Amino acid sequence: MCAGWAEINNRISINAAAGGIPVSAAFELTSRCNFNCKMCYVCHSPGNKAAIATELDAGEWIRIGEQSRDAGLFLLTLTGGEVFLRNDFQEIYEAYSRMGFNMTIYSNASLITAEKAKWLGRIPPSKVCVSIYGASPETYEKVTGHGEGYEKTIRGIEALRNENIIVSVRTTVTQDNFREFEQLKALAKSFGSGLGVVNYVSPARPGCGNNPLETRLTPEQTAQYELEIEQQNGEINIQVNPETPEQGPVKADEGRKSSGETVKSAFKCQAGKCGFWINWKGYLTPCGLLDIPCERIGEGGFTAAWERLKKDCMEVPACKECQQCDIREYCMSCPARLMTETGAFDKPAAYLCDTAGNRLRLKTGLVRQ
Amino acid sequence: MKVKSGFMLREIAGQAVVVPLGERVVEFNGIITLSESGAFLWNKMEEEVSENELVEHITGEYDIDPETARKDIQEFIDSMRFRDLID
Repeated sequence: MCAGWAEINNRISINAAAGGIPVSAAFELTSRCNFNCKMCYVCHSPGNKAAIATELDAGEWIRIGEQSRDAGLFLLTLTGGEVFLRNDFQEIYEAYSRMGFNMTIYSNASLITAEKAKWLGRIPPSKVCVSIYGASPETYEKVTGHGEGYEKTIRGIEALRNENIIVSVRTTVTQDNFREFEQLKALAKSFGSGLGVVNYVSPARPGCGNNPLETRLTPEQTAQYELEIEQQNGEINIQVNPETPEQGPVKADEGRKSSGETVKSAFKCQAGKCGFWINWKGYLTPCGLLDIPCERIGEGGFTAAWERLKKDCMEVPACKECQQCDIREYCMSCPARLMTETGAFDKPAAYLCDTAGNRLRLKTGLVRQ
Repeated sequence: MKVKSGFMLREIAGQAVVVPLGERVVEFNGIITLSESGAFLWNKMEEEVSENELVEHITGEYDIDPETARKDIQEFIDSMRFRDLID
């Protein structure tokens, strides 16, 4: 009657990918955030009226939730921006909590008061993933532009834990915080959590003022950092680049193009097969990194948009050079990263190539010709 | 007997799954997977039903003798009671 979660998840994702059933998703409820992280690809200020004007309202999100649930959605991540900035987050979340989803909330936790945690503790998600950007107010100031955010984040996590809500800690590594790994690890451990480490920072989305490229690690630093944390894994569980549901791996990678021809998907993850992303404007995309392909849900409803998106994704070309590359096992290349790095799905990205080359050198001593 | 309120039986990519809703998550933060016949029984138990009626339902639906059906149903009910899922 009760199988292990990993086994169930695996069974569901295999069946879902094979059947094109949209079981995993992230809903990006807002593009606004109370932090202003240098490396963030989506950050509008909390009071940005233009951004607010483009956000779906609670009723629209609830309707999309119902339609997605009816189409098969089960693993739902609520993310932003910062979801707790929305005045109607409680309304949206409470509606979702009655729809039969397995929910995860992504938050920086700085806006989670004891009162909000108490509310959430009465109808808890499966977990709250909290991003921690440093182990001191000074680092928070450098990374997020809000030094006071450190204490607020810690208080937010403690409030969640006081309500027995499972907290999972993750961090995004940048030039400003990569030397604090030990302290971050200790913090995560003190919260009874493992540590998710996101070490890939993508270029900004169009319209966002930040320049993440200035703050991300160099290819050499990325490979070195990975090696160092790999050697320390064990004391707590450390996961490099933990996936949101739609980024999880799948075994089935075939699908049909609009022409009806069966082809292999360029995506090796769930994106466009059984996973999807909906941005704050209500556009359906394969994952959070991509603005294209995209389908507006609109009047036609979710299922019609999902069927179109699946076909769109099968039209995405694979990068032939990446497929034939002799060090591809060391590379994090995917259509989304190639597009954000180069503006094309099928063009190798120098940053990713260099990072793979450095991994090869550090792990094997070989140097790529 | 009847399953407690606050749970939803869903079919997720061919797998029958029972999910706690809203406040029920506090006491049951997880999911329950059911076989096809387990899902059939759960459906029937969303309304008040007796063990005898369940035996009738399941022998009417599946090719199974009443004695074996009763034994399987009792096991299913015990498992549900153990997890405190029945009123």
